[in-house]
Amino acid sequence: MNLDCHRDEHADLATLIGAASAGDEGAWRSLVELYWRRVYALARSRRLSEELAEEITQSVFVTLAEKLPSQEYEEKGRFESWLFRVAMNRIRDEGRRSARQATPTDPAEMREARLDETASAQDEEPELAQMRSAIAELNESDREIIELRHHAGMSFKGIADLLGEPVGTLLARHHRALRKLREMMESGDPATSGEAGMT
Amino acid sequence: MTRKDENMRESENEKKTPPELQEIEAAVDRLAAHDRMAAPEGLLEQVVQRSSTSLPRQDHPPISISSFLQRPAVRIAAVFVIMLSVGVVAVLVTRPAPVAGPDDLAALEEEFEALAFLEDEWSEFGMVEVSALDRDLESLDAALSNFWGVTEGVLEEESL
Repeated sequence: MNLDCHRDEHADLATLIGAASAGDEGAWRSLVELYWRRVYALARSRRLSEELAEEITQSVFVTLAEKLPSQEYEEKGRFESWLFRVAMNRIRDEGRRSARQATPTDPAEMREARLDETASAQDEEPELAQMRSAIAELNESDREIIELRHHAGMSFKGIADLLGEPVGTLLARHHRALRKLREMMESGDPATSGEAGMT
Repeated sequence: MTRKDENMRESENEKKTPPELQEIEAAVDRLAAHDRMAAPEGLLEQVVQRSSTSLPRQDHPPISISSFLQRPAVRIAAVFVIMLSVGVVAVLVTRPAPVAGPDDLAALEEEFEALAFLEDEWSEFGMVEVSALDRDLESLDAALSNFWGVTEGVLEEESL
């Protein structure tokens, strides 16, 4: 990436954040346009329903709009890391809530849930569905870096800011996660890959 | 380490995905792109509308004198006022002062003389009229005194 372009992007983003903090709705719209698809994709990567992914996307930007002008936002210059931290927290909360409420114990309900999942997967290309299943089989830290890097489209520097870990550690973790995914995809059945869920 | 160095190092690191992992990385990217494009178009408007209400209200700055003077209507009005003022001043300056000349004074003297003549005429006529009125009043006074004298005599006789 051209360094001048990199600096210009930072300057533009800082200008938009400053204007939005002062209540400029046009600037706020531009910020939302930059990130709304990425937040939605992050929510969908956790296999949340479309409705839930939409609700999470909306609530993340409501939280941002509320905290942007106040003292609560203390990460000026690290807007992207802050945004996706809010998004990840919201997605995790929703995932936990869904898991508590919707874990079926009745065999009929379990069969129905499997059918729903199968129907949803049938809408996708087989390769995409297989990759989605493979990512779901990764352990939490590997899955997190894959989703932040690819679905949220963050740089490793941004992910390092978000997770508070060195860039080198994250790069190593990313490569390890990719290797696991490759193994699962080559074996053809992500759920049966023995090493998938192990660190 | 400067920002420039950090950016360069990061871009170098990001190039270091091993060749054997580039294919699987591209496959993950395809899934991510699919999920991004799956976002319903109407969601953007919903997000903007719902979140915009949480933004702080934008303060409208007070109108400064310079910005006020730059408004077209104000400029037109200012030009009109200036032109009107210049016109009024020009008329006042160029208007001749009402100074009486020698000819005017002679005409006035003639007028005064004519008025004096009329006044004398009027006085003579007035004196005649006033004398006649004075005579009428005296005769009326005598008639009244006579009436009251007779009336008193009648009343005294009746009281006795």
